Amino acid sequence: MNSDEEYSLVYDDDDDDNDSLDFYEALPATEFAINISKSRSHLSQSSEFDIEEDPLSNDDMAESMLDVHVSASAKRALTEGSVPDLKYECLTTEDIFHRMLKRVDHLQPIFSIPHEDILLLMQLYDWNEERLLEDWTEKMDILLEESGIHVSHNSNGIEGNDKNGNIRGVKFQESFNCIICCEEKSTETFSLECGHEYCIDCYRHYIKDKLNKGNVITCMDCSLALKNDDIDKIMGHQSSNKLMSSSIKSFIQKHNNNYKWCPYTDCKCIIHLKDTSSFAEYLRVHCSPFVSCKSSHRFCFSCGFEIHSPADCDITTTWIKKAKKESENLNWVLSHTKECPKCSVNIEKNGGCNHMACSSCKYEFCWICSGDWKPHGSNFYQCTMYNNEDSKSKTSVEDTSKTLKRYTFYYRMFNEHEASAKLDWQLGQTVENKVKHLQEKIGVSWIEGQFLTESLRALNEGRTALKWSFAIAFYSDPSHNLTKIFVDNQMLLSNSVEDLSELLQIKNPEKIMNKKTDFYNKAGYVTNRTLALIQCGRDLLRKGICKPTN
Amino acid sequence: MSKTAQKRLFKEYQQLIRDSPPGIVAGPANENDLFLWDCLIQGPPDTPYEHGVFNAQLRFPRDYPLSPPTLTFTPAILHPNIYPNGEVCISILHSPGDDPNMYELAEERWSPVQSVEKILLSVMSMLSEPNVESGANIDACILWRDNRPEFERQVKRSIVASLGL
Repeated sequence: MNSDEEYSLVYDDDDDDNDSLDFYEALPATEFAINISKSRSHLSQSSEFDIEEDPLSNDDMAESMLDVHVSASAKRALTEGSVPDLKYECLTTEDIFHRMLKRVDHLQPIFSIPHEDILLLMQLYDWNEERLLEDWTEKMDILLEESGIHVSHNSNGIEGNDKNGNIRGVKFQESFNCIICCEEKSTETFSLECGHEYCIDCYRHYIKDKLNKGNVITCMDCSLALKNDDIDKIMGHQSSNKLMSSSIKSFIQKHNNNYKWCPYTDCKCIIHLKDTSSFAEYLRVHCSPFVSCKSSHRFCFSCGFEIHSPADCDITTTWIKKAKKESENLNWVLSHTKECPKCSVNIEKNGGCNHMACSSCKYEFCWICSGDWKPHGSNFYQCTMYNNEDSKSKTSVEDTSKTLKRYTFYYRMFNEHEASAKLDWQLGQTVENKVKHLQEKIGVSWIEGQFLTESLRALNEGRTALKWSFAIAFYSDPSHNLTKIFVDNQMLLSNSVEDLSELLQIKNPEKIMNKKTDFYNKAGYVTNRTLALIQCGRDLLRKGICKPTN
Repeated sequence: MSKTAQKRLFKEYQQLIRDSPPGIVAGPANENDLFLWDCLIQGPPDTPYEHGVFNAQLRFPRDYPLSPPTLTFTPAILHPNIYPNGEVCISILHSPGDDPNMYELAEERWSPVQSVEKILLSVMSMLSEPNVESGANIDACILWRDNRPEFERQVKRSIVASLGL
């Protein structure tokens, strides 16, 4: 559990600043445990208030290191959904390859052919063991021939050669006429048992070309397959790795219930979920199984998107689908059309003069000023003065395109927070420098400077939660009381996030140190507000007030 | 790589001059460019294409013989496996990786040991035995399957026209 170590590491850091931890580690581990079991029995209604109480019960400050450990992970569990901890590990491609070889080891007694041959068969069957075993029992001989492991007897390559006389491997020939490059030279050559012999240069070009495609490489003239060993021998170095990496991809594809690539660009980590049984539980209570890879990229194991609480995977995917679909429509509609000033139908001007007649209500108006056409008469350009206020007040009255407007609003909010999150990320880079500055200028120890990083983390999590909360808000029944509470929660979090963001803009190192308590308080508040919002969103989902609709 | 290709193409050309299969003439269109060949293919006897002589262009990629050339009939001829633009679609002109369904056997596909001669022979046999299972020209496929006499009549007519009679 690499990631867990990581978390505990992060939390260890702030233990050293115990004096101002009141917001952070307020509840001892046991209370959290109770919370968790409560919410598991669906009494989690009260949980958001529990969090509110946190700052009050801060007489439990004398916690042992161990307790803090537990409470940190318990806190994490609460964020991630009051369900059993996910047991997962982060693997590299090499780890996966070892696993693949292990599978091969496991199958070896059944097939009783060399390991390399099984690897080849698995490659051919995209690691679909069941299908391979089925075919194996049905038609072993044909399979071996088709997969290019055995020499095909019915197809005649260069016949007349004694098959046993051909040795697989690289040879040296004094004078060899390669029929591919048509050169006669003394060179190394390669051939398989089939006896189709070509010069090593041609083979190298051929293999280099094929490696990218990721299929099993065969002899140039027949279907006999080259094994990894042969490839490495011909190329003179470990080239078969490249071929294997595509096989690793298909292995993960096949086992995508337990294995997932980290979706972040250029991240080669693979997350292996050890126990999928808790998965159903996660989905049932509208939580998402968030995992974190070695490079601390956090993502949702179920849908592959970033951390998206309070929204669950359903909401997330519908929202994103809608956003993709609508944003194109919306952009087009906004840039190419105007609403009819009378009936709000969107009108596209496909040419001609500015004298418009709405096809739906027959209202005649001017495209430029959206006003009635009558006063224009034949005098076209009396309306060059665009009256902004007027048109605004007109559109706000209309309610026919209300749903689109509603969506546009939430979409805009979502986007806004996404943009802010990006800016915060840039801020994050400067924070790194600030910590360094603190160390150099005022001699603050590294650990003491960590409150900045910690605040940034709180800010990021708050922003993400805020962003996704707009997806929830969009799909929620607006008349319900809980939705109103949710919106209030949103506002509180939004305010606290802005406060913290402002605080993080401070550049002067002395000022930062003076405001240390402020940082702790604000960051703690953001964290608590985030949890409250997530809880509230989850309740909306659980009660069916928020449902994904198209 | 293109040096290998040139050497190989030159060798193949020499071989074709020395002993070319009946009904096939092929060679570089001009001496400066070995990568573009003109071919003349005679229609195989006992087929609608009999008595016809068809002009086609072979275009070789720079990484020949790793990748297959393309063959285009100019002008296009009516045939189930020839696209309306004249491009020929047969298995020997495809790399094994191009066919995800493994519809065509690996042995029938392009590999560096194939040659211009083998391609042109395959084209000859394609002319006598169209493969309507994987057609390139759907109209020709339907006509060939449902109305053979009309198909043959149209082919004959275009041959006569091409010979300028």
